Amino acid sequence: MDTIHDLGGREGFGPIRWQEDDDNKPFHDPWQARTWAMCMLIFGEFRKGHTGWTLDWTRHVIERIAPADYLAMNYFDKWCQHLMAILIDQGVAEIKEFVEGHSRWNPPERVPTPLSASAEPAAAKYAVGDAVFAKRDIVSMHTRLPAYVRGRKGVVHTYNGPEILADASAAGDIRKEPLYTVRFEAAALWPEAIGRRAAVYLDLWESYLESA
Amino acid sequence: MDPHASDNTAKIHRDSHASDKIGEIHRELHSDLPPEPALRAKALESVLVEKGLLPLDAVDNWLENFAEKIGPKNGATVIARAWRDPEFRALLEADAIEAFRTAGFEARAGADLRAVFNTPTIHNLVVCTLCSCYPLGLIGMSPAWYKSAEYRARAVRDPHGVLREFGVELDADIEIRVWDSTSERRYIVVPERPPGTQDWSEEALAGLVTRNAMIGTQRDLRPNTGTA
Repeated sequence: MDTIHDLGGREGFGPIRWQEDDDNKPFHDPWQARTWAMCMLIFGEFRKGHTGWTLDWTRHVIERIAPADYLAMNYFDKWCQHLMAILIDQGVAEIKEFVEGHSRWNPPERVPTPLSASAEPAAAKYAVGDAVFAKRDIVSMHTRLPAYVRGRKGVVHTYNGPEILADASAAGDIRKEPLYTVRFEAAALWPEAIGRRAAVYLDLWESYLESA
Repeated sequence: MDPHASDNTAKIHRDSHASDKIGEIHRELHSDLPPEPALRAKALESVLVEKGLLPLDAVDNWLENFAEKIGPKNGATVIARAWRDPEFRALLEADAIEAFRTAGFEARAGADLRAVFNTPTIHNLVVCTLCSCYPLGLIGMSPAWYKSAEYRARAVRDPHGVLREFGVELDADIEIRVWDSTSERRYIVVPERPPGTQDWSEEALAGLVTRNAMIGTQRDLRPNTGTA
């Protein structure tokens, strides 16, 4: 699903904001630190409780913040709203509880149910040095194939072995697929980059690619 | 089959993986919640604690542990060791997670990391265009600029322009390699060891390595600002 989060190569943005950022101050406000800690702690509970939660599902929930809000909200505020949305979706909390800032009822104990998992994948189809195209169309709910490389030609730089496919994992299906690092010359991606010594590397799953 | 399966299902609280349902919840939350992010975070914490999903002191304990164990210094230490020890450098190149473990920094199971090395003719730059992936578990929280829409949009398309804004001007014969973190593999840039630091200790060398250098928005480290 191509929402606003797929920012790579979008034009019209100005200078990089917040360049001065103290290495030793990871959070600018206490609420940001607390939000981050809550997410990390509750993710651990989701894992233990086998709710079907995965990091890829969390990424997709953040991606579904309305486009105008996504661009305007603080990074940690997005994490806060996404965790509320997950808890509401799971039936553990209600919107009015977050609006009031108090719980109205306690959820019953979770009953763990394991995620579905599929068999190991077949052997890798591509070898290092092979020319490949990134597919033009991806119909997944959540994908890690950015729009700016779709339909573009690159070369397999590394084979990383089978890795959990993000597109399936976002829907709660744990399935591995060969993962490659693919090098795209900047000139193959951007019309203004001809003659520049630059390249972009991305980790792409086998189902994102076609033989060139 | 358990005859009470449907009753159990009601208690499971599984994620729906229903994209449009989430979109609707977001719209309602955004219109109903108080506008100040600090108040929203407070509401989230109160509800979690009152529902028994989060012990009262869990957040404070987590933050204390995080601040103690994880930060940019971990990466700086590993890089300084790689500068002084060719065998360790080879390990960092072949298996960065193992190199961090050897240096005493444990990564979460399943995490992966690739170290990419700057040379006189190669400069590496790391971005995550789709979200804000960063080796958080090893070198701590990413800087605010790394998570900005500007950096995420521009780093892959205009890396020279982005570097110039950070005061980095590259010679024409240097190739820029931009690593867009699209999988669970994270990236860390190993900058070149500054000249004139042959006799420096690991600790002094680590003091030169900044968070920006490990992302690639700083190229030359300055020995005159560190302590020998």
